[in-house]
Amino acid sequence: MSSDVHDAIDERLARLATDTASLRPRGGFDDRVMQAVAASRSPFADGLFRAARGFVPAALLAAVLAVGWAVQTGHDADRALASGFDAMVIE
Amino acid sequence: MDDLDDAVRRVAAGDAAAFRRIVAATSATLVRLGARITGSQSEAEDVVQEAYVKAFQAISGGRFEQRAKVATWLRQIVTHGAIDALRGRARRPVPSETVDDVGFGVEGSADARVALAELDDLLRELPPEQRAAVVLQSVEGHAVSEIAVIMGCSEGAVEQRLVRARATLRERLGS
Repeated sequence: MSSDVHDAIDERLARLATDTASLRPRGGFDDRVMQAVAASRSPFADGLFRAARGFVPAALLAAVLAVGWAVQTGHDADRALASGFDAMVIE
Repeated sequence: MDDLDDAVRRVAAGDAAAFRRIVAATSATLVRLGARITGSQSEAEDVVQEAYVKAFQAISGGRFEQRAKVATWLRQIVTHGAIDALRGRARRPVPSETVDDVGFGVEGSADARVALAELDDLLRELPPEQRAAVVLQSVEGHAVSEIAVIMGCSEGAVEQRLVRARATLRERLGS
């Protein structure tokens, strides 16, 4: 009984799969989708995002250079302070 | 290179018109999937349209990483959208005139209209996730491993949903 019902479910679903195989979107569906896609776009945001993506490598390089410059400046300042202190001690 | 992959690359590079190639190649399959899960052509078209908008935004925003095939990824979005639509329907019962309309306005043969209404009636008592799992396996012909990817869960979870769904269907058809 149980396996008969099991087979009946499988057979019915297989038949419904075949019978619904000809389903397709109503006419003009692709056009409606493209209109919805166009309506969802913000030209300003798109342009800003694309421009921002182009800026990422330049911003990374600038950040690396800024850190290098800061470290170098720090060392120079330490060296200047140390030599000033040495001069005071000699005096 | 796959034509769909090429279209995705073009959309990501800012060619929005290339998205039409993706829609043209996949809309029939996706609307069929959505209709089989929701039991309604018009609801399926809404779900699929929303899925395409989400997909476009993800691709053009650089958030689609192409680890999955485009077609599989779209199936994931549509399946989740269809499950959400079924949940929404459960929360807010469909007015009777809309229930009468389920299956009408279907593009395709008269047999397809009747079959979609019959499928909807057969699966009506199943929870949305079980209904989607049954459609993906027994109607769409996917393996459990593929269903797990599409539904975003483990194979064990898919098998559990299928077992429970079959028990409900057996009980219904056996009585």
